[in-house]
Amino acid sequence: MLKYTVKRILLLIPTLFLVCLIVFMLLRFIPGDAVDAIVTRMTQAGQTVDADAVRAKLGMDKPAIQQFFIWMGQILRGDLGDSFFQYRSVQSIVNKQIPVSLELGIISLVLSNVISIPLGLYCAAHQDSISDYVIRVIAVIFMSVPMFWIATLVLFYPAHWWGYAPPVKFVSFFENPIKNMQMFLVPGILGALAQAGMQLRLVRTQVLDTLRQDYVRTAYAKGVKQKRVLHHHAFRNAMIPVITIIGGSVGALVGGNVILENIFNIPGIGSQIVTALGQRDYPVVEGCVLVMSVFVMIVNLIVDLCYKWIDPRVKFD
Amino acid sequence: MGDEVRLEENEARNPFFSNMDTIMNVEHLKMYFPVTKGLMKREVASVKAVDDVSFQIKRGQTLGIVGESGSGKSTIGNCLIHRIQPTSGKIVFEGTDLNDINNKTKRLMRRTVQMITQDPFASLDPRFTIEDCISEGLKIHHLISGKKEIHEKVCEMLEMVGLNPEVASRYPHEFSGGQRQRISIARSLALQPSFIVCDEIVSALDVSIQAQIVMLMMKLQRELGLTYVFIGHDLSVVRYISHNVAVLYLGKIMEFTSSDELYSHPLHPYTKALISAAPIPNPTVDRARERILLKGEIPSPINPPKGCNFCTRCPYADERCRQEEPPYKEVAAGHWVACHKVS
Amino acid sequence: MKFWKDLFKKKTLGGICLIILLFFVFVAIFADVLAPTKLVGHMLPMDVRNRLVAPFTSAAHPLGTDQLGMDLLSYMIYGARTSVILCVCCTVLSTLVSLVIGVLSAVIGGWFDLIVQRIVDAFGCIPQMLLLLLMMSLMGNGIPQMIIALSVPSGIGGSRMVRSAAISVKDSGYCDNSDLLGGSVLWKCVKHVVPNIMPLIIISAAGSLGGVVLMEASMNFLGYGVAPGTPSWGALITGEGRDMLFTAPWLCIIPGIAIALLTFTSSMFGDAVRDILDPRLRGGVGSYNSKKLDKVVKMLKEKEDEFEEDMGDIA
Repeated sequence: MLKYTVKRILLLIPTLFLVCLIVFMLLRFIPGDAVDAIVTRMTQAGQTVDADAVRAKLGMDKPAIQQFFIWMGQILRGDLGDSFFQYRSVQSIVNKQIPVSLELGIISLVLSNVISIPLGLYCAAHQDSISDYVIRVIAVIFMSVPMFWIATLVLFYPAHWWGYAPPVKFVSFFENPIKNMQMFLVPGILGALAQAGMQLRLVRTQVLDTLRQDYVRTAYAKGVKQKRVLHHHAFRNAMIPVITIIGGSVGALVGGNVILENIFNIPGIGSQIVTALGQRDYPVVEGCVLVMSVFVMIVNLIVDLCYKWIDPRVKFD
Repeated sequence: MGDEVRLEENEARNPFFSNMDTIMNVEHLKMYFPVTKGLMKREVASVKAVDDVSFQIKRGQTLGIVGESGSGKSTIGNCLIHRIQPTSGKIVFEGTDLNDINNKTKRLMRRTVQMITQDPFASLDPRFTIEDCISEGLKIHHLISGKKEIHEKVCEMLEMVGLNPEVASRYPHEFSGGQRQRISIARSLALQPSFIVCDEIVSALDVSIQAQIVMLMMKLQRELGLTYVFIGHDLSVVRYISHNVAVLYLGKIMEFTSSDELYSHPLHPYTKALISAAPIPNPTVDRARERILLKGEIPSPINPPKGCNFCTRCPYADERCRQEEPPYKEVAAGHWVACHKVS
Repeated sequence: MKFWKDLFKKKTLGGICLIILLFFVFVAIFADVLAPTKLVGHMLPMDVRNRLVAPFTSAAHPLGTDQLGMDLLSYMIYGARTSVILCVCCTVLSTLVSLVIGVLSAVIGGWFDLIVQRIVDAFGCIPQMLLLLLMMSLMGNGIPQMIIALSVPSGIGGSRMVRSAAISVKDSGYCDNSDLLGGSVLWKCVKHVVPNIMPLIIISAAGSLGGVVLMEASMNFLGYGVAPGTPSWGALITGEGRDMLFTAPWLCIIPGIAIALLTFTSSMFGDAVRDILDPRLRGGVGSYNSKKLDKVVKMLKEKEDEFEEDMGDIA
């Protein structure tokens, strides 16, 4: 177990290096760079600046590969660099914005599980009944509706009809839980819906799959009631692949809610990246993507280690 | 006719083609699989799957290899067809040392040397028709081209193994184990090999079907002059088809002799135990005979016992057997034994 | 053949969805014929006299017009073309990418596999949306760029599934046997591995069909997408649709419904394909629940009663 964990962590090192390389290289080949943007802005402010001097100051006069290793060296020292535009370090931006995204992600994650797992079990227990069909079709509808579209409608029409709008300014949960929830609940639900639809269908197929096994037939033959069979035999075995999917969705929920953060004006890491990308603020984009990728890696690792706990058959080799 | 000519042309270029009496000569064959540990793949021990084995195979004859599971018999089979590179030792096939061949000659060798495997349910691609299965080798080696010619060849092969040629367009799942094994045999024969390794080909089949397949193999040997290495764990089946039998235990040959001699005059205690374990149809004889029951399991090949490999389970073992490895010696003409108790 | 029969007989909903999908494809192919107003260059012509006509009020503009008097029905038809092109190309390209990476990684194995898997892992760790944003800002807007950005990362992600399936085929007896017959790596890939994982490939391709349209629309929202001016449902929602949510709600609602419909039908079709092709999920054989067992018990009891009656008659 310990050996396996160590091995997995060691394998993360090349992966992490590749993530850095991919992100760095993708960014450096993007047309138009930060220097132009800075020069334009400063000229507008009435200052005269030399583009080459700015370039040299930002360390961007060196070849890309050299810049990459300088950046890697910084990261190994635990320094994510400084923003080009925001006069603060990337570390402080990440520290401030990760909890916000995390809160939204956790709300979505909890909601989607609360919705999908009981309904999935219900559908599997009543396979091919009318309610099964209806729930499944609704699940697919949730998956098909463009999130930004429904979010736009949900945000603007209530405001238009009843004059209600969620708070625009971000308040921390510990300062004012009610106001915080007013802001996060609606996007949290919207983020959960598509995920819930997908998970529900997965839970249903997995439970149906285990219901087909011989030990379930034996349980019925022994006279075990359906409820007990579902809970004791089908559910635990069906959860193994479901956990993989939940683990995979953590990354998407925490990092991928760029759209919801944008629409509901939530100052999370996703909207920060979009802004920084528009400004060509490389250190911010690189730092944020890197932190999020590390987060996803750690979640994946935990999910893999959890297998041992759920599934006694799993051997680590 | 044109195809026949082409086949012969191919034959002429094939280095694995001779008229020597001894088709294969195996000398001091060793196959150790490393056991690794830790992240750095440190080698901590080795599985001695095959440990210093030597024998000869005569053209047109069958060598039987018997042994328990884990005795290294399949590993020998894989070494003989050069599917795995042995740790040391020399295998000379048709005058060519298999240590010297490169990838190109290895592919050529695949035509001359074939292997039929144990599980007839796994060895046929479920998406191939029987015709596709049998003609796969022909297509790989570009031996025959043209749909019609291939179909004719496939029908010929099917008839040879006792199946109706009309089954060519059907799929493997429609057939029973015995029929599938016949198809596997036809697939191997399509390449016109001279040497076939049969790796437990009847173990997965019913007893009545086993007899049919063994008879078929013997018929094909007579007609085509094939040489077999017949690997199995059932001594009575192996004895029936083989001219010579090697009894394998923990990667070493315990006894090697002709199959009649082995049955009438078994010398090694292990062979005696194997023969006495085989059921005899006549209950009177069965009850009267002396039984040698082996206790325990075959030891791990990672850590074989000191001295004679068999000493942990041998009823006659003494101090010498536990200390000193018995030499593999010829006690009578063509009868080799590795045991201190036999002189 | 059996597939189509099953699709329409057993999975009627899937069959209906296929017909709707084919309708979308038909509209996309014959967009130039079907649209009431034709494209001029890359843009639809304006009609300033008929600005902001509501839907279903004018025979000339059945779905209404936008603030420049552009006919919405024509825009939707040309938008369908964009969506269908993206859908088809992305699905094909991403399937190809995952097939090539997955199969080669599985069959070659060893160091190659180890290195390729690290790269696949690295791509898997970067949240998909961010990767898309990075790629789109690298390549700029436009349909071909969209296709690459939407299909390459998802193809790389999908290669894991292909790889594990290909490994199980590679380890099977028939692949070993192909080796014994002298077959090369390429022969094994083409003749054994690919045909045997084909159902899985089709299932995953059919399943990913719907996501493409959704992704394209979302990208448009963030300002990355097709070239400006190209008719696209997503662009309409995020552009005029959002700006005129209260004065002309149809500009937001109609394309939204179209996106949802296309995604919905393709997901349902994908589901039907999976149900038919995946033998594990094929109904009928297994699947025990107490209701079914009760039925069996009842049936057996009836049989028993009949049997006893028969025995009574004989006696």
